[in-house]
Amino acid sequence: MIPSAASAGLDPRALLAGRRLLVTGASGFLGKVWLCHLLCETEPAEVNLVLRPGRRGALSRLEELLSASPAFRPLHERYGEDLGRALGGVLRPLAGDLGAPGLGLAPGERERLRGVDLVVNLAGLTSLDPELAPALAANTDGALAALELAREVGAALLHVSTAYVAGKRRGVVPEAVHAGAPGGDPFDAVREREDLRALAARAAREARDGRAEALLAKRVAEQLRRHGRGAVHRERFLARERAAWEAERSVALGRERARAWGWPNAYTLTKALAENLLAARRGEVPLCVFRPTIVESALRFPFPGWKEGLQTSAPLTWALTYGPLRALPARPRAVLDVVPVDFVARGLTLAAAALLAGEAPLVLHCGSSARNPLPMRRVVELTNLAHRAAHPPRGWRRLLPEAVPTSPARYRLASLPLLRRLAREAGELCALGGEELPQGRFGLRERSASLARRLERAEQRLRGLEEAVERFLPFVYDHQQTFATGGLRGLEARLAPADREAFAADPATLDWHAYWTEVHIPGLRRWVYPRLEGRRSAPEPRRPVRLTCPAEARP
Amino acid sequence: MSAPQAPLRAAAFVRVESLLLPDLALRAPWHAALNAPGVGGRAGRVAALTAGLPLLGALQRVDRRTARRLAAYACRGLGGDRLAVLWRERYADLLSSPLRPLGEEVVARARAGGHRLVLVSTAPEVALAPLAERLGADALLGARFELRDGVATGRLEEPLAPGRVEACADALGVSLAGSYAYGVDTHDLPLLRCVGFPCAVRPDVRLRRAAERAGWPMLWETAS
Ligand SMILES: NC(=O)c1ccc[n+]([C@@H]2O[C@H](COP(=O)([O-])OP(=O)(O)OC[C@H]3O[C@@H](n4cnc5c(N)ncnc54)[C@H](OP(=O)(O)O)[C@@H]3O)[C@@H](O)[C@H]2O)c1
Repeated sequence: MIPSAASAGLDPRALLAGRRLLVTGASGFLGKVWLCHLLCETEPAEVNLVLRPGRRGALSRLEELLSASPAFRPLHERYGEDLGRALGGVLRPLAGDLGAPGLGLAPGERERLRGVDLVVNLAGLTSLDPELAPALAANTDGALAALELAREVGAALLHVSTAYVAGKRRGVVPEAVHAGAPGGDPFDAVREREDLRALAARAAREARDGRAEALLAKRVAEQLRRHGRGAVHRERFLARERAAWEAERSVALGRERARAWGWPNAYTLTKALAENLLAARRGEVPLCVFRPTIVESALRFPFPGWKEGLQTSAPLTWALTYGPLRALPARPRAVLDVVPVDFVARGLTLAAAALLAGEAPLVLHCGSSARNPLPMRRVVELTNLAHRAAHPPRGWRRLLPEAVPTSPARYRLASLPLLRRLAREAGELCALGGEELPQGRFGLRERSASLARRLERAEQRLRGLEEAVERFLPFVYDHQQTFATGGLRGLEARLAPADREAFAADPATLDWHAYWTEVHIPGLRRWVYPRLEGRRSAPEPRRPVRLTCPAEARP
Repeated sequence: MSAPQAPLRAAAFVRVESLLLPDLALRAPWHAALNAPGVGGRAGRVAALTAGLPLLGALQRVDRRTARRLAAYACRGLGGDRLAVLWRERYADLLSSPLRPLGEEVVARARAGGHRLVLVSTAPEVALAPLAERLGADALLGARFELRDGVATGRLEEPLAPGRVEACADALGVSLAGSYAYGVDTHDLPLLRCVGFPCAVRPDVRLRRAAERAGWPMLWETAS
């Protein structure tokens, strides 16, 4: 009897051995961890990496990444000084940009790529509130360009999306491309892409119309006065203000548009658009859409606690412990679907292997809500406890309350927004004092003006935090969904027992208390919080790598 | 014919409170109340415990079990994660200081007899896990907070609730008839009654009477 695909074994090492891959987004948080996992656990013949080259070129960028990023520690441990030689023949950096036509690859490069087996599109603009034009270029157009490249060179496409393309859908979210918008309205992806382009153009146009011009002129005059600059600087200030205004407008238009359809933000909207268009245009290209939920720090690989980037829950956990947020608007039972980055990397390698075997489902979720849900009540509590373990309360600090989840209404009345309002009112009062108080009386006037400036800065910081909380509100309060993960569990079941250690990652095995308090928050404290506070994290020793590529591979 | 079974080993069940450590059953809930998250949750619990202080004090003398259960009610609504941390915090100093000599002697005797060591405690298991590790105990039979959705209901599952001693003996592969138990108060009666070799160690008045009636040996001082 011929074994069915579902019951036959799956051997990722054999399936990836000697294969040629092309990867976008390998310089990102997930990209680096996955690349490292791929190179540690399998032996592909060639991995082409599409990188934005910066000023010094793609090769130099890749070497810098390998030299400086802690994500590659396991490779350094394995190869030591030979790393450059060991990987030189495998890694091929290619200068490119997702937003450019044809991924911005050099002429002739596409010919060279003929015969690549798998394109993995990890690149994306991951800001939760992005500007429309670059988000559309990276998340939607970039994905379509990756599909066209896969078609041209005869490869399969593994596209990394996000589970939150589900928007405000409730209940169990299936592993399928969603038809229609989350709000239930019929949704035409082709038309929406055009409409979003028009919206982005509108933001650019509005930034140059008469009304904006008048507003900006007023703002610039005020700034020149405050900085004591002459009219010669006017044009420079105006250009900067106009760009900021356009960006703000574009973000607002994108958010408004996404919410009208039922997505929380323009990031998920542009990712959902990509999925719809890929599914419609894939033709004969083998396709798998891989949807992680919220990717957090590593449980074990490349090492416990490794995390990069400010886009996920770090600002919230920071504000709960180090910041002024003691009441977080969150539904205590709402599930925050987080998953350690090494779980995602393993899932991604498994999906790649399945796709190469011609057996990957169209959509795979990678998250924890189905197997081991983590309610917000517990997230807040574990964050408190991790802080308590690092800074045991002593003396008067014992009296400080720890954070609790609360309703949005109470939060707006009594938490951050109240603090921000107080800071603003006090700042305005002090500014008034700075103008009205008589000069020379104990320096009251100067003190008042300086306090006003400090309060203004405090208000800005609080506003930033408040915006971060608002961005996260859909995930911690509004959404009540569970992401089905049967696809990955099915693939894991087909692994040989000896391969499970390297490629299986069932979130049911996660002990949230241990992960959150001993790995995740300490990891954030080491790698992410310093950046949130405007500091640099303690430096990691650089281990210089020079890739000794075969001559023809050098760009 | 079935293969001959290996003879079952014996265990020594040793009560922790009074024998090895002082009893913190009433002090630990205070720690939990004072360290509840949120202002309201903290104030409410502290107020309730303060108001109940005279009653708890009186009950402590006549019925420790009820006093302990009432005090534990202050933990209602706290998450299981926090309770584990707070209890461990409260016991940390105790566990790092020397144990009481009589208890150490009992543990040494059990070890010398080649018995499995089971610690029995009215404190939550989470608090005493480090002690079990320090003494190399084979099992720990402690109280457990009843949790619903990860949140404490305020009720405690007793360490000697029906079936727990037997389940523990099964898991360790020991025979209760051949096992020893060292109890200090009437809380330990169900345990003392189900082992072959019960012993009352510095018993309180009521356990002493029960031991005299049953003819159980009593231990008052260390041998040294
Ligand atoms: N992190 C999460 O929680 C999460 C959750 C679900 C899904 N995802 C998805 O997983 C993927 C990777 O996420 P991540 O966390 O690794 O994001 P990340 O750290 O922000 O990295 C994004 C990557 O995309 C590249 N990129 C962005 N715009 C590009 C462009 N125009 N041209 C070429 N490359 C471009 C970046 O290159 P540069 O280094 O040049 O900027 C970087 O390598 C994304 O598709 C994201 O949507 C992430």
